[in-house]
Amino acid sequence: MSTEENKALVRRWVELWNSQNVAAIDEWVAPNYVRHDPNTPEVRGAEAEKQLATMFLTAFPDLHFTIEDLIAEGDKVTGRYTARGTHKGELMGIPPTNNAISLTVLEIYRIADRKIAEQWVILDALGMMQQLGVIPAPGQAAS
Amino acid sequence: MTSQQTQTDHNKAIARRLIEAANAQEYDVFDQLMTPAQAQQAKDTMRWVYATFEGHHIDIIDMVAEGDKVLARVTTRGCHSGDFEGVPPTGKQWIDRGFIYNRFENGKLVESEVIMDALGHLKQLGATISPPFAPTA
Repeated sequence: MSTEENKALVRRWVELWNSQNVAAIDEWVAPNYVRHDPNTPEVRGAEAEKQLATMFLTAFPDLHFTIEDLIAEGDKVTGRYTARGTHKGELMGIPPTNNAISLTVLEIYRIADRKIAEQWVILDALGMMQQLGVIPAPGQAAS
Repeated sequence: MTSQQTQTDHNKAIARRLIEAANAQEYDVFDQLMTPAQAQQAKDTMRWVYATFEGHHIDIIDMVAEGDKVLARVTTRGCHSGDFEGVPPTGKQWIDRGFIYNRFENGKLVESEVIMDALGHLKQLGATISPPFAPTA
């Protein structure tokens, strides 16, 4: 696949998340799919990715990713996103706060056989915790 | 190889050289390969980093580049040896994962953004986060 085809695949993957089409994840990830993210346990396979998506979409039912930039080379695509959502459901033990969040997410995808084979994710989890009021924001005294 | 590919490879080489220079504290390399404003900012940042985290080091794991943009996937490591956001030195060793985004114009760095796992960093320094950020997925 060309880098342009790989970018198109990533754009459709983001649309899938934005339309909350969790069931379709099966068709998009490779059988040996792995997702690396320091803030969540390693995800292996479509079923685990669907569980992760369900967890995020339960916590943020209006979760939406805006593509800020895509950079592609060889079999890799980097996505730079702004993720926005309202915290309406439990998130990893944090009860709903109804706070709106907006944070930067960076991902590198490895594409193989027209599927997402591997993904490396860094999201601004500290910024998210500050926006949820769980951690004091800079300059704000700890309670 | 197209000239555009050559330019992209050149930008990757510069991005790599800048990270090596940061590791070696060779700040004159910043002056050569960055705009003056970027070079000053990078020097200030790295001086703060070395004052706060002894033995700081950046390792490049992967790079993805296209056109004038280079994205480096990195790990950084060091020892918490100085005051950090009000937290006195703990002497703890830490390792973080993250990305460095660079944009180049005419062979010089004009824009840079570093996105690291800051939450993981705080946790490694012993910060307690309540309620616990305990992944369950």
